Amino acid sequence: MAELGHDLRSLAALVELPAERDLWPGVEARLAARPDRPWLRAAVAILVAVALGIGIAFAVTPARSAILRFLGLEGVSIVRVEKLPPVRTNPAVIGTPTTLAGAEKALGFKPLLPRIGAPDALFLDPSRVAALIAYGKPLRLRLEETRLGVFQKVVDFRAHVGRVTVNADPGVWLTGTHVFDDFFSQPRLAANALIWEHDGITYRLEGRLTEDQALRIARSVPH
Amino acid sequence: MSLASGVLAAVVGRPLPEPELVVRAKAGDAAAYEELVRAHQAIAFRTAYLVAGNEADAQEAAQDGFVKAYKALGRFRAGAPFRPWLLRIVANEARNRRRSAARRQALVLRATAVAASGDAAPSPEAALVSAERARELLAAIERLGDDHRLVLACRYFLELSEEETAATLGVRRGTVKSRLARALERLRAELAEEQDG
Repeated sequence: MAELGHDLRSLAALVELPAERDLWPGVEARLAARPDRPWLRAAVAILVAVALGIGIAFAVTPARSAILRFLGLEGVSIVRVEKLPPVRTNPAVIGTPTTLAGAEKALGFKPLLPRIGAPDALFLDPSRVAALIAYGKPLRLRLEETRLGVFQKVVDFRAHVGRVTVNADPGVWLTGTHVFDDFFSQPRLAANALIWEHDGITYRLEGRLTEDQALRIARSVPH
Repeated sequence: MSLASGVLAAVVGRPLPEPELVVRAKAGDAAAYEELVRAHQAIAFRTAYLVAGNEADAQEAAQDGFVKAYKALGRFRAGAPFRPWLLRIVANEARNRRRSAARRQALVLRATAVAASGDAAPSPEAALVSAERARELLAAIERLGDDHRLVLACRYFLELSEEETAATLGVRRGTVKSRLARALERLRAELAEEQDG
């Protein structure tokens, strides 16, 4: 085995890999082309929806995986795969307990609470960029609010991905087991989830909910 | 967003350490992020190439990965290593493209390595492994499944650490170890079959 490892290390110098290229101009252009203007994203969302004639569900060729990029939720990718990747099933580390005032101070915006009664707990996520509003002990419902809505949902072909509106804002409703990946912590299995955006804040409501229940809760958030 | 004079002044003489660049980029300093991109673009592009399987998708994936990383910098824990986190995002972008993209380009040997199989003086690399052995090895690697080929490529061709390989492949470090062991085992079997055949 040692000889094989040695040969592989030597082989590395002989394999043709593409030369380094300057990626910054392309990155810079993309950053410049994506200013943080929610109204623009909303407008693009409407145009895309109209242009593609997107209905409630997305039809995806089952023979291959596909990426579904949504609709004003610029940082959110939904990737459909034939088989979900293995992930841990234990609950994620939620974060540091805080208060509404503490969360507002840390995040620069005041988290909004849905009108479903007082939450059981409020946390700042470990990277202190999101408020996690928790209901139930043990946790049965969570609402995450963040200015940095960059994450990915990986769903398989049993999952349903639908477009919804929360008040006037575009949103996505996912049912069925799927994987949530925020590119920061380990990916984890997630329950049904409703994702929407309002005024530059991305909201993600997750729990054992029906679409109607989720929409009622989302629409009760006093935007 | 060209190199801003403030950062330019700061890097003259002594480059800013990466954690400082990350802090500045998180605060919206595009010039600091440019420094980070330039520092990591080579490994990001090559990682994306190995995952996506072609240069065009790799470039798109790496650039999109850098854009996503910039937008997610607020989630990045201060003091954590930047490269594995970045590679995870870039590799994810590359995987997404690979899923719907055309056929993967096969890995090939450099022309200089192939030429070294003749009577000419061998290159320093060929002195370590013969051109014939290199061809056999690469052909055997190409016959492996994606999981095994990629873990070998990450560890040996890109020289990524276990942590970085885990981030790139989207698996735990323990999985990297076991997958690498199985890949080497499978590779030895492929080579043995080739010799017997």
